[in-house]
Amino acid sequence: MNSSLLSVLIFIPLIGTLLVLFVPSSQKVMYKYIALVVSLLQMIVVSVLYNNFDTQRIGNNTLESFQFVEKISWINLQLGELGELSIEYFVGVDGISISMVILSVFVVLIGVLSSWNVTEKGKGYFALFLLLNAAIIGCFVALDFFLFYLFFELMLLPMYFLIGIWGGKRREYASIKFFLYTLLGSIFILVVMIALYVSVELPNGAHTFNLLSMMDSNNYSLTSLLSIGANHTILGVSARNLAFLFLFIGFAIKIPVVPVHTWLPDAHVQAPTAISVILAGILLKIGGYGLIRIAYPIFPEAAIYYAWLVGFLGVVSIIYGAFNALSCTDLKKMIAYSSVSHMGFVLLGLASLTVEGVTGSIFQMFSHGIISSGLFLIAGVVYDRTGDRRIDNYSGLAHKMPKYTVVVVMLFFASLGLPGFSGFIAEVLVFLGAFKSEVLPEWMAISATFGLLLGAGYYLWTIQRMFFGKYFVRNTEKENNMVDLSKREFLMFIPLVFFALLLGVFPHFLLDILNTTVNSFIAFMSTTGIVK
Amino acid sequence: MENANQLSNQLHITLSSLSGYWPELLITIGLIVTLVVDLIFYKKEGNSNWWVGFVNLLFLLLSFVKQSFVYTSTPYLGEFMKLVLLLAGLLFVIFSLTKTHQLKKAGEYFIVFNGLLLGALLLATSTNLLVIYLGVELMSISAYVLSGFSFNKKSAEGSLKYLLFGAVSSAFMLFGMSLLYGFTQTLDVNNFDLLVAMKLVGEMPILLAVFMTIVGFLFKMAAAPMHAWSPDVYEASPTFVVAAFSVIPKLAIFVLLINTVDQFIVLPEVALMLQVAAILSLTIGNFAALWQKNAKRMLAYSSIAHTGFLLIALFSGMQNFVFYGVVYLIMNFAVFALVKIVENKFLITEISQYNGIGKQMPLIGVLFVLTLISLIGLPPTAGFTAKLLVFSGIWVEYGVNQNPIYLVLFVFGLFNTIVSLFYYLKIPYFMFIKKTDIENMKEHKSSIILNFLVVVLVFVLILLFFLPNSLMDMIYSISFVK
Repeated sequence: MNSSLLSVLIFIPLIGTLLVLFVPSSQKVMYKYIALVVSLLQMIVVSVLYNNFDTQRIGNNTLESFQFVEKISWINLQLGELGELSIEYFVGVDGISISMVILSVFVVLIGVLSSWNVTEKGKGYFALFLLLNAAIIGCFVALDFFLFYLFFELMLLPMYFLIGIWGGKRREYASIKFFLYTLLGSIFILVVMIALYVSVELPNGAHTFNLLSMMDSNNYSLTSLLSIGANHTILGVSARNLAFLFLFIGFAIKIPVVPVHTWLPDAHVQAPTAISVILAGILLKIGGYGLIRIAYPIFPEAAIYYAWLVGFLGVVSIIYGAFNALSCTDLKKMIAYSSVSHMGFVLLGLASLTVEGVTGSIFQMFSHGIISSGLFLIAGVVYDRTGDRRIDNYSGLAHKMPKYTVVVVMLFFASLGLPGFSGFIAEVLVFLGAFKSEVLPEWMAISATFGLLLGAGYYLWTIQRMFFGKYFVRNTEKENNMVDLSKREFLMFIPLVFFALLLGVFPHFLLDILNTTVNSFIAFMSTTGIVK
Repeated sequence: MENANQLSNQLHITLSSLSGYWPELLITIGLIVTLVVDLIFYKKEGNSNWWVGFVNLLFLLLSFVKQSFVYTSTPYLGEFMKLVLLLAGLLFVIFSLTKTHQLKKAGEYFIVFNGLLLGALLLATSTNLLVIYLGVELMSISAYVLSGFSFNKKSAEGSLKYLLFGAVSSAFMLFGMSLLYGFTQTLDVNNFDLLVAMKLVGEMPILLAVFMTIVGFLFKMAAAPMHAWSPDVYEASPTFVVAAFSVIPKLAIFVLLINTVDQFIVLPEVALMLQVAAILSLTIGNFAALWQKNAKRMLAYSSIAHTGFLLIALFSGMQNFVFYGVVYLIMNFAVFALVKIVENKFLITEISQYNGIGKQMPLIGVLFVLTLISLIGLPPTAGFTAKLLVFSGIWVEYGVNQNPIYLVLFVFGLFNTIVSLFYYLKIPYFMFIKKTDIENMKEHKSSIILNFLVVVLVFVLILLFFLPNSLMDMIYSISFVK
């Protein structure tokens, strides 16, 4: 199989960016078509990837079992005292990353469709959008820490401008808050990245950013700070534990986990619809993915040591997010908090360190990616029509917008975890893992179930307030705009609802991809993590 | 007879060793020729500027080419840094010659700048206290004059402030040097035997002497807590002069520090002093920059913070320092050129007036963003690579000697990045995001050459991220042994 497919996936949007930049402003319509074509091409590439993906190959920590690998030496610096520094253009996928890649390409396509009406400064918008697209894919396929970090940071600036320029009333505040929080997180990651590459020394003396080499404890020079045997401490804390915590903080900001979640509601409420979709659908997953790909396998013993903390913060996020969602009057803010709550399940599943739990947490990421994209589109629909998102400014919409109501009800039910939808499978798996887990106390799983209850609460209550009862819209001037879904909007919702249903009824489409990789991940964690 | 022989011998030695000073000589000749040309064309206002600048550029270029021959063998640090300083000089002169710059008294402008550059070049290779003092003063006095070249009240004030502060710090430095001479009986820094001297006079007086000398150095490079002059001077001086100020004297003094500090470092207090200055500069520079409303003033504080960072880089390995220095040069020239482009087009330097410039000049806006990203130290720019190298170096040092101060440097360096993000982003924020209600009315012609130069500089910044080897290989061929 031609193995440069992943690069194609990354570079198509970059070429698209250049195209957008060079198309003259008189051809305004072209921009969105370029973005659409890019997304469709990516879809084709991804379907080729999916068809040729061998579900029996492990991935995870061994180079041979990764697929579509490209490994090209990029930067080789001869550094004085340190020896050689080597950075590679190293990409490849296993079960975990390919599921994220599929999700990304899909959600980005939805994002393009939902930005169809962006006309103001279209050139900048679509150029940034495509840049973001490339960075996202790069993040999910990079197997070199430096490369990962490059793409990770590359997402910040387009996001900053996309929220800052095309956002709502308080966009200036929201965008800078987003940037500062995420940069703080990435500084924590940078610290560990530097410490890791200084500590990892290959047999030939080169220091590398290769993630797979970092996962192998034999590659740490004995005297280095992060070597496993040496038990170095920094200010009284074990250096490896500290490094794990730093990575955890860095990625937790991205997920986001309570108490570092406060940027998310602001960013979501202010961001334009399409960007909210990307943010909730993909960017949040990079936090979870980073934990699975980087933090856990590199510091397995620390991951086990801090399992209670990860799990605990997961439970706190689930419940705290749900309570907040319950009290929100802004529809979009409610959905944002529900995201916090749902991403808590990802943490809980991961912390359980069982096959079920970790599968569930990846499943949850995938499912939440699809469902939350839909939810933000829902919020976008009413906002487009009246410029108002307050829940109590609407009622009885079911009379006027029946299609919309059906979609909303289905997606809300999918999100609250009704059997038959993907969210249900994910949550069941997470709970199975959490109850079975040897590292988590049972009360965590029990209290997390409480979050489900609250979830049902805020969704049903919202449906009841907005869609049932007597028809009423507070903003009477724009009442004429309250028409049902247009064809384009409907077209966006169909695949989302379809996939949420498909994965709920036939979860094996995704489980098959994940199974081998997750099994080996757990085996790897338990063999390398127990050694003290 | 004997005497005459000795004299001719000495003359011979002097003349033969002059070959190492070709760049300096060329610049001195350039200075004189510029003076003559200026006298000839004195009356013709329009052409004079161009001729004077052209002659100056020619000699600088000669000097640069001559200096680049050091790469026929292994260059020393000083020789490489001379090349870097000459590059900065070239950039300055080319920038000044673009039409954006309304030169008044061009002759003096270039002559005085030559003096500044000459002083900097002297510093890069000197190890004799007298020559060091000569270099520092030549550089400083030229700088006092140059800072007044806007010819307005503010500029005069800045210039005078600079002179007063500078004179006091020079006095400190000179006093320290004289004490050092007294204690060690020699002017040659490489022959200092501070340990022997310490036995003779005790530790305190030696420390005092070294501290005073270094305080003078820190002042000239605008490191906290000796930084107070720089924001005023930067705000008042012509923009290109500021670009030169933020790079040339700073790098020259750093090379001097590297050349001399080996001798001083026998005292652990000296290292600590520099480290404390690094942390202070970084923190004060970044936090003070947060409150600035004027772009030039903000960049002055940013350059104080970068001084702190360069001081940290000193402890991370010489190669990393040099890499950071070169990247710093490119970034600073790029950012000041951009400030100048905006200043020239709309006659503004207040950041809040940058409203909507991103829409009117999208290219400049994008270049601004890229340069500022590099100053913050985010990928994909050379600023990130430079910081990465420095932090790696610091981390290795920490691993080697487990001195907690390295950890402190590491942490301060990294987390100051977030603070710096906040103020650097102000500029793109006003350019792109802030809704504009005031249209910038006053429009002037912009210089294509200047725009092109900035594009090149920014391109280099990005190129150095993807191919750091191109510069790193050059740096690694430098010999750091003295």
